Amino acid sequence: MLSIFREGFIKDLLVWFLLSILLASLCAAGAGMVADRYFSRTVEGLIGDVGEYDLLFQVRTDLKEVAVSRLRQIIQEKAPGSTLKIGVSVAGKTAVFVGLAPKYRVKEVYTNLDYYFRDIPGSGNFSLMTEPRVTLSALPRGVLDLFIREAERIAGVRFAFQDGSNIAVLLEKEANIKKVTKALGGLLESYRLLEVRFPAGYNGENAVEIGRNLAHLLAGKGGISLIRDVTPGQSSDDQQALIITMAEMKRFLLSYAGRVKVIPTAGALLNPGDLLAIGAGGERSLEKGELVKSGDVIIKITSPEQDGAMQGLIIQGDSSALSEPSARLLVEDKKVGEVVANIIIDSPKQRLDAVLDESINLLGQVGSFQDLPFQARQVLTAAETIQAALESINGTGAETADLQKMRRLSALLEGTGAELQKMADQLARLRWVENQLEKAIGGLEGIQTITRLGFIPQNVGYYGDLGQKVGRVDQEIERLLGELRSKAKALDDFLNRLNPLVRTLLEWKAKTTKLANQLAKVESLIGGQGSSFETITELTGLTTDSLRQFEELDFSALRQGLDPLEADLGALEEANLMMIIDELKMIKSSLPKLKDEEIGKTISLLDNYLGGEVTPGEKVQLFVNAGYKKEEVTQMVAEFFASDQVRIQALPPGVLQPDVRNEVSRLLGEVRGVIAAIAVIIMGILAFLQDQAPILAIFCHLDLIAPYRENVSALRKKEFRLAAYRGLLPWIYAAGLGAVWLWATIKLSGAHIPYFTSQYFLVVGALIGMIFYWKAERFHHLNMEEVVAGYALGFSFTTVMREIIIPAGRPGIMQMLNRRKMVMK
Amino acid sequence: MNGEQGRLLLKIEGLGKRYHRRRVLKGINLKLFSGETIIIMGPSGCGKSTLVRCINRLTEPDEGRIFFDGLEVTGLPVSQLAIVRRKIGFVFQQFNLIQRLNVLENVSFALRLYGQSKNEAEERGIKALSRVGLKSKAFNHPGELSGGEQQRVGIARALALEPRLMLWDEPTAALDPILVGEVLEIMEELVNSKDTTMLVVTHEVGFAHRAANRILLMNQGEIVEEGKPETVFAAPRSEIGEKYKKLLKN
Repeated sequence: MLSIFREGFIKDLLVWFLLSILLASLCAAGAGMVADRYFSRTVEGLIGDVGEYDLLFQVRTDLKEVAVSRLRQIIQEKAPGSTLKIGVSVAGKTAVFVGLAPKYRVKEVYTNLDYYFRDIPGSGNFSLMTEPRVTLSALPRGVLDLFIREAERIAGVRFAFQDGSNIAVLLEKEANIKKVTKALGGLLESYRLLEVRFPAGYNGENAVEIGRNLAHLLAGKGGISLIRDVTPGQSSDDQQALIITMAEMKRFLLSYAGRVKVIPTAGALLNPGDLLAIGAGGERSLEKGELVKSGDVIIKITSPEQDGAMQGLIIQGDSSALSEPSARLLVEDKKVGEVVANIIIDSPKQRLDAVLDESINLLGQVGSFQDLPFQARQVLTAAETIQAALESINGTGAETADLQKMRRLSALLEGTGAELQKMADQLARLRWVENQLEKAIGGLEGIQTITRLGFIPQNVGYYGDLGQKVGRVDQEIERLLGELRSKAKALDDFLNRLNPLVRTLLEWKAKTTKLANQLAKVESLIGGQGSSFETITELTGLTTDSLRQFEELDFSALRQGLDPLEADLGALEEANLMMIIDELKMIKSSLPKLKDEEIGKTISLLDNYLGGEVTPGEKVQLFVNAGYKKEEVTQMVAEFFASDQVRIQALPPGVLQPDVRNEVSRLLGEVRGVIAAIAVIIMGILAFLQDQAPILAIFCHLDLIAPYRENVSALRKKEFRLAAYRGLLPWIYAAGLGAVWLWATIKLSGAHIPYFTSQYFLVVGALIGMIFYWKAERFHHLNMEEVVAGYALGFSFTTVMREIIIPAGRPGIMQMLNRRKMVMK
Repeated sequence: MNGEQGRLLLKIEGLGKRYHRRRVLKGINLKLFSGETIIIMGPSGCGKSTLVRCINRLTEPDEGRIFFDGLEVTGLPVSQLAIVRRKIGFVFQQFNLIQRLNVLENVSFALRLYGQSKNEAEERGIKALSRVGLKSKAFNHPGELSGGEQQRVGIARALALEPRLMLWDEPTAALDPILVGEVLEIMEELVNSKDTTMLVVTHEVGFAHRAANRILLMNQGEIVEEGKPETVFAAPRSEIGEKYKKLLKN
């Protein structure tokens, strides 16, 4: 068979090969160019020529006139000389293009574009179109400044600025795109975003705080030379803010709702998700098999605790309605089952409510404490009167108590009895006041503790100004508490010093009255002998101690001690108690009037929503330099969380995006390449069908065109060995021709298919060739009678091809070329 | 004419051919002398056509040797084989005319390719066509001719080359019986002219009896009887010969 390639026809084939490749390449490239031109014009019609426009507004078509008018006005005011073009309207939106005058294409203007074009009727926002431009997107907000700075250092960059959540990098000229894109790619490569997910079970309620701490821990270690905590939740993206708010709200509601501790009874096995029922109201107790009613309380078990108990959430009813501590399992069809647990309710909601009520009530009474100093001085006056009286008795000699002395003491106490009683009453009142003060202090401290627990968020955005009010009240309460505590202490000291004496004197009074009666009897009977002497002795000792204490009482010091009390009470009045009371009332009225059931349902709803979202608290994000030591960092993070189940994922910090036109151009390039490639493949098939099919068909008759027998001569052994495999030669020819033809044409035409390298075209070409050889005689019906006649007449392969086979084939390049060499045209 | 009187033109020694496992020719030995006409007869499938096609290697024999004019044809490279083929005319059962060419072109085609000018070739073509009585149809296309006419064109094409040997592969087999005569008539004329040596495969017993110098009877790939027609048909030694004898009598 090789001999046929030594004939002239091989030249014909070579010429055909080169010419067909050239023509096919031109055609394919032409098809690609036509497609490119068409799409490019379409794109230019849509988004203008390169650098022509800077901003694209999508305005409502019905408001187009108003919007355009407003845009013209803004342009006139802010950027005179800028151009405006109304583009196509699609789906109720009209594209309006604005091209800034060259002198306004500066950073200052670009950074203020949002402000300039903030209120265009019927338009939400605009898209930046300035070219040449490269965009960095998906960057954490916390590092935008860093990337803007770094981008502006790159040669060929005019400036960079924040465009929404992206960074737009404007270039000096189009030719810089590749260079700058590469540099920005390198910039992105030099940093990493570490996403640290909390280990299972880790309570990461304050991810921001954790992120900050983690960043602080890692800074300067493990090859980290730059670190920023960029944990989501710090920013104010609408969606993110919503998720944070919901998570915060959930946290608040969980703190505010009744906390149910479920203690399973012996042998009871409870799991999260189980429902427990408790009868509502004091009069109702659930029985086994009974259907649960709407007023009954249903508790859903949420999670196990370490001590074998479980946490629950009230999903029906309210904790205030609970009638008993034992809960029954809620089985199918809302039927009540066995008693399976005891429950303990802790309702911060109720506690807060009660404390607020009590505090408001008590603070209302603080005004009535103003006569405290007066009462105290009355006590002192009474005490001084008694002291003077006692001193007169004491002058008789306490150690020598006698009947005479008792009489005088009895008479004195009779005389000061009213004063003494008044003093005791005043002291009792003061003690009550002190108790009230203590209660007020306790209440206020309760409020402070609850508010400081943080379940009333301080951020204004979430609960109106409630959080701020709480903060203000907290400060006032702090001041008030300090004052109340000092007054209570002063009062307490005062009472503690006077109270024992007053009690003693009251005892005296009772005893001396009794003694006076007895003395009268003794005097009449035995002249002061008998049991009355024991009383006298007892009273004398008592008198001796009391008198000593009264002598030691420093009334002037006590009076001085009352002075600050008086002054402090004045200051207390200045503490604007009414303001505090008003604020407390406001807090009380502002607190959600939610039943535990409503809170539980709300939490479920929040869970459903948050279930599909990445909630703050599950992870932190740290922006670090690339090249950190992964293992060391992982180790440190694991130690921070005290868990080896921490997952750290290193992500690129952002994505590099070409501008719209570049992207469109790239896509168009791909479309052009694909169209050209398709054209090449089609032309390849055509080339085989029109020109190669007859050749491949005759190759199916190797016995005729290259007759060989296998055992003729030992001298021709070598050739015959080759002949044994000559059946492969047509396959090799077809595959080789197809592969080289397609590959060369693809290369020459500039055709390409994404993800389809040129090696694939070699394979495809080879396949096409082999398929054509396999089915050659179907693709081209060879008139073998003519061919045989040709050979019988002594024609060579070339002659047979040129004069018989090719002329009988389909019109094509081969036939065209062949015609020149035909004898019998 | 006695075959042994002329020069040895064709010599076949031990020719064998098999299609897959079936042996269609078994050790054929044959000598053909210049001017001699040998007619090969035998039942269908006995290997007659294969034998004729093996001579110019349109079918490649598996064994044996073929000598044409002293040159071993078997084993010749295709380029030299083509030269030998030019000296051997071949008339096909199916005429094998080139449909895109007219009658004259079919006839002068080979001449032109072998270097003759168009005029020379056409002149010789016309001459050959005149010999077969088709000069008037020179510019018709094969499709416009009857089967007999087409075969006559085929004969003229072979004659135009003035071959040393003409091989006839059942030239009348595809013809309507009415048209067979015109072809046989020409064949007989050619035989009688003694211008060429002929090896004819045919079932025409009468023609064979009249025209052949020698008759070869084949059966199952072998030559079963060989001799002069009067001998073979008068006192056949083979079963096939007996049949042809009866056929000739009828």
